[in-house]
Amino acid sequence: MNMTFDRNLFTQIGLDSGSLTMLGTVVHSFGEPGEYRGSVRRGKEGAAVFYISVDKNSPVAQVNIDLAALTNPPAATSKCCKGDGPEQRFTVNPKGYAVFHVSSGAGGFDVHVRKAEEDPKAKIFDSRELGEGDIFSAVILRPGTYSVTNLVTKTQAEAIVAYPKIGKTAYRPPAPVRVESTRDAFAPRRIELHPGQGLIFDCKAPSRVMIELVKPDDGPGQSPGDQTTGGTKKASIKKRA
Amino acid sequence: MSHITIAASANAFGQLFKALRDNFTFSKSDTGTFGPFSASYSVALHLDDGTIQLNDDNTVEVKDVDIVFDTLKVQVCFDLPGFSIPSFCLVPDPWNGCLVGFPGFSIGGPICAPLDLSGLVSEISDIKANLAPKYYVDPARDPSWSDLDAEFNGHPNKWRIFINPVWVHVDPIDIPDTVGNLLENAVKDAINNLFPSWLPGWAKDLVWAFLGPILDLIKGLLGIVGEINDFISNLLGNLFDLLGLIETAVADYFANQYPIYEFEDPYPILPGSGGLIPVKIPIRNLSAGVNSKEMVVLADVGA
Repeated sequence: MNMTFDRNLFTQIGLDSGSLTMLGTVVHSFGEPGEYRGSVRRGKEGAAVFYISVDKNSPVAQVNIDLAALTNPPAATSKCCKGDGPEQRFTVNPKGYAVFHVSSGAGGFDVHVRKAEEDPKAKIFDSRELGEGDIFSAVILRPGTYSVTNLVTKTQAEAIVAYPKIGKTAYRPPAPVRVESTRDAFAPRRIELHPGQGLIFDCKAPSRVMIELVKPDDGPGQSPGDQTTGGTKKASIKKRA
Repeated sequence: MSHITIAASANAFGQLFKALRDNFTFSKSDTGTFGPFSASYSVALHLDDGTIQLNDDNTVEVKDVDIVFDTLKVQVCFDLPGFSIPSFCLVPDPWNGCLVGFPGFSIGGPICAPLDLSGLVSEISDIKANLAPKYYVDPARDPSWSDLDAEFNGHPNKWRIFINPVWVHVDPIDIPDTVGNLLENAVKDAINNLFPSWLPGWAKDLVWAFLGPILDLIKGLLGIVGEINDFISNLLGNLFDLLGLIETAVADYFANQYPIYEFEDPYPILPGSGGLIPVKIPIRNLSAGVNSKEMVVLADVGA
């Protein structure tokens, strides 16, 4: 039997909207039609370039842009160097959304997007500082208490992720929780989550959301697989005396 | 009127039966594939207890004989399909949908769950039989030998009286409810062994939570509608036909392999001594029957 895990899912604890990993996603709507050029960076290092046509004639309401795939294109199409691969082009309607996510690997990406033919220094979108209308979507797997901080406005909240329980049916995370990030506060300020439950930050002010583990919850201390699963009956095997 | 009449009381007959019962053993192993799973078993058993009753209708009835499974090992193997977590959404969209699903882990492949049910006791609830005398010529006897030669060489002909079952009824194997726990733990162990060493405890518990109750998982995969113990009982008793095999083995043993009583033919009535050969009389037309008090064997002295 085989079992495969992406180690990063279980070892990267904490999220940063300005440094995307597998459990974090940024959603942005461009609004204005035009040709855009995007760059993906890991830290200070450029990792990939892509282009987005924001076209009002496009039927595409949502374009998913996998930053991991951009930075690791298939070998057959990769020509030269990191950040200098073949052009990656996307199209989306001006009223649609670009979804920046990381499908695998360690991540740590941020994204810059500007008009392709304008001044390259004119910043249009920088995932390190989300603007009004942007969305940061996070999933926290590791149980515990987390601090949630907007590094731009210095507002804070607390998120508590419950320890997983084996119930009478297979666990599925409930619907995501929505949180507003305003200039003055997060609303709500106390966020209760189940493991794997989505956490959506609607940015109403400049935001860089940092989620950090403050107090881990390691559960009741039972050995894995030893929890009661229900559905079994106790009886003794009739043995001879 | 018969020349010879031999009688054994019901009590004596009971003692003869105990020797017959205690000499019985049965062992068997097999494997098979049954749709979504395969299974194997290994069994070794003996008989114990029970009551015997002689009836006026010339029948013998044996009841409540324990079948003691000294070894009863079962292994169930099946494919654990690759798991997806369909409603686990990594990237929920703003419209209550899901943009990106959980890519995290997969579990799949063959898994085997060994179950040791040794020590289990089942029952032969009823054997109805009559007595069947059979004439036995020892295959080791040389055709040129006289009856005296055969006796001297330890291979005389014999009359053997067998209990000849009309029917043997073995009760379904009563698998205890705890087999569900055994199967569940076996599958858990198999999955536990797959966890990478670096995986933290909370992540393992999260995986267990995603998998849900293991018994439900197993039942779904194997198409089990009822309880696990009924499934195992049916697997052994019907799919492997272990009940039929035991019934056949018991019937064959009683009817053909181990006589309840036997004696030589010709029957020695005076041992040889002082240079004289033994005196033996040939037994012919032997019949055996019972009434409620005793076993009666009738025979003639032949030429």
